[in-house]
Amino acid sequence: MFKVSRKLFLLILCFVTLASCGQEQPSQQPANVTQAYIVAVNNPLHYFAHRLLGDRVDVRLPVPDDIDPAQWQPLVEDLLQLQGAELVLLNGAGYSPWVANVSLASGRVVITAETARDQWIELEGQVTHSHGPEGDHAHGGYAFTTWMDMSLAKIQARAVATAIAARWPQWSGDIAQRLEGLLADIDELDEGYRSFATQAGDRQLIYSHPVYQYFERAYGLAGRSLHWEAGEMPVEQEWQALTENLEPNALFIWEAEPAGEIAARMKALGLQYVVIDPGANRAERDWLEQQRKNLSGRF
Amino acid sequence: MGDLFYLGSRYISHHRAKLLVLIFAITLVSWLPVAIQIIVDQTAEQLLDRAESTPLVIGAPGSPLELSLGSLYFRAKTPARLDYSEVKKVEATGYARAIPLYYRFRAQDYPIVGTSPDYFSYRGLQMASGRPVALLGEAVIGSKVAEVMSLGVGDHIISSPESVFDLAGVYPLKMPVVGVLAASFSPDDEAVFVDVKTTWVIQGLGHGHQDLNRQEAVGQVLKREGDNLVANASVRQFNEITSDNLESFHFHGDNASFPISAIIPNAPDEKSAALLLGQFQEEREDVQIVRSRRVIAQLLDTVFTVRDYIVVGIAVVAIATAIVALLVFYLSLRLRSGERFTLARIGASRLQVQILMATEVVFVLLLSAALAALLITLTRQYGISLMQQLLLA
Repeated sequence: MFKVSRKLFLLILCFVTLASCGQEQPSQQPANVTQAYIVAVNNPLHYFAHRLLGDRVDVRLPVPDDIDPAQWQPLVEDLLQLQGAELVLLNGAGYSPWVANVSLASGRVVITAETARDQWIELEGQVTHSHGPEGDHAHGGYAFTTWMDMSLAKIQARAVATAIAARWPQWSGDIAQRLEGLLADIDELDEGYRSFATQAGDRQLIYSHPVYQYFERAYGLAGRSLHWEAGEMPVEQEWQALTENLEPNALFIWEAEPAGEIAARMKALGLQYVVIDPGANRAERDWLEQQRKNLSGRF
Repeated sequence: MGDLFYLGSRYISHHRAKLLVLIFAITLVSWLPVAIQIIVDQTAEQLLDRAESTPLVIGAPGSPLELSLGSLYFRAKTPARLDYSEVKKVEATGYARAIPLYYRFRAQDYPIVGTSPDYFSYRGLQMASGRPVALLGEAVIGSKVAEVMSLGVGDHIISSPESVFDLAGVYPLKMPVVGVLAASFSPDDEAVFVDVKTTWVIQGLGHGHQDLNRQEAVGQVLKREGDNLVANASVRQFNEITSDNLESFHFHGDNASFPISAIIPNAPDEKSAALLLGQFQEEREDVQIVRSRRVIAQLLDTVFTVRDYIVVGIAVVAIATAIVALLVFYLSLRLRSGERFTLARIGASRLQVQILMATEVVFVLLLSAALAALLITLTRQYGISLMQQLLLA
């Protein structure tokens, strides 16, 4: 009787084991189910979306850390990731020119600066072309660092909020509340940059890169733009060109903290500098913190 | 029994022409009404399935039937044109995501369907090999296209020019096949899918060419007007989009005004679909929104009516055939009275004579029934595709 029971017990054990093996698949299923996610093409948009959604939806920035998102060219794998996204947050103003030649569903694409198209700054000196019977011509391009004008940043934040609230209407109340906080923070940045502009007064401004067009226009900080890399010592001719028309009160605005030798050379020239990082790239700090850090600079 | 079989077979062999005509006539009148019923039912089922999975279709004003058949089966020869801006307008309602379709062009016998990645998830299409379309100029082909044209991932498919005499018109575009769809037993098996922008390149609205700023292109520049270079007609356009020349491809003009054939609104629920339908019917006269199922059902009503007439006609023919067959059998028995007499005189029993006489009738009926059954089976297997081609051609 005991032997029979033991056999029976072993049989039941085998059955339960097999049954549990069979049940393992469904339990693994959720891991295979694609989770809803959003893709943003630069750090400000990534920050806006994350700030508005919290951790409820995965917000991805597929651009490698060492690549400027404006120069990023997605690989096929990146594009397949973009196709699977609930929303693809684009900047607009020609920020991601590759969009014209890839396959994305228009309903998932949000051009966040689209409603401010009339405020886009068209670049000068860009060669366009025309040919064929239609004679139409292509645009030469726009300046694209739109979010450095905080009024445009607010428009972009609202566009992100509208898109995600339309996609997840069940969270629209919370999104609206979070948007208020975000806009308040951007207003604070706006105030900060206005104060910065006041301090800068009528000093001569030199920008390390031509990415500050919206910043210059919004805060009345027109200046001369160079093509200097913060980590790369400019050649002597470039230093000479810089010093030729240098005024004593000139202020140099860098995208990133310049290398020690560059900083030393500037100090020797008596040229003051500050770092105003647009924060396009993913970094240690989020976009808002980066902007606050920009404003904490003293000159 | 063997002797009866022998005599029966000799009789059949001797009168084979007459019996073959009888078998043919009986087979035909038995098979035809059943075949028509099967084909029409199967066609109706398939048409309605496709229409039910695509409840709404938006297109330019015109024939609702042409719009429905075009967007469901990509069969329209010259689809009416709709502006791409309508896609944004549908999406702006907030009731549905819009899937554009542009099915004007062909690659040999197969339609090239310009659409967005959402189409594949909407139809539940799976990849048998390769990957979905990701870049301009890439193509994903249906399973039947792959089979018939012997194409696979890594091969190329070329769009067909619309007219050989239109030298300035649509250029053939060589497109790499990046994926093959798993068979879905639907019109998607017989289509070539590309991004909608690729169809605009086929149409000549977008193109790629060498950089006119480069030194070697100086001979192609007609004049320089400020920052605008005006090129002459010798600018060579690329007829294949590769990773090397992809960035040179561009569109002249605003893509909002570029053409598409139809839009499939993908509404999340019936309420949204109803609201979208109401809004478009109420506010838009420049576009039409149709309920595919209703349109296809109307088409099928016509088909059913025609079928009923045909079946009635065949039934009349069947009755006439049966009467003729009875007459033939009756006359045949009359003609065989001498044969019956001879058989009785050489010792055949009454039963044996009756069996022998019945052989002719049984043989004809059994063979006709077997042939009709075979034809019905074949109809069930292959009749539907034949009928669909006739219906949709």
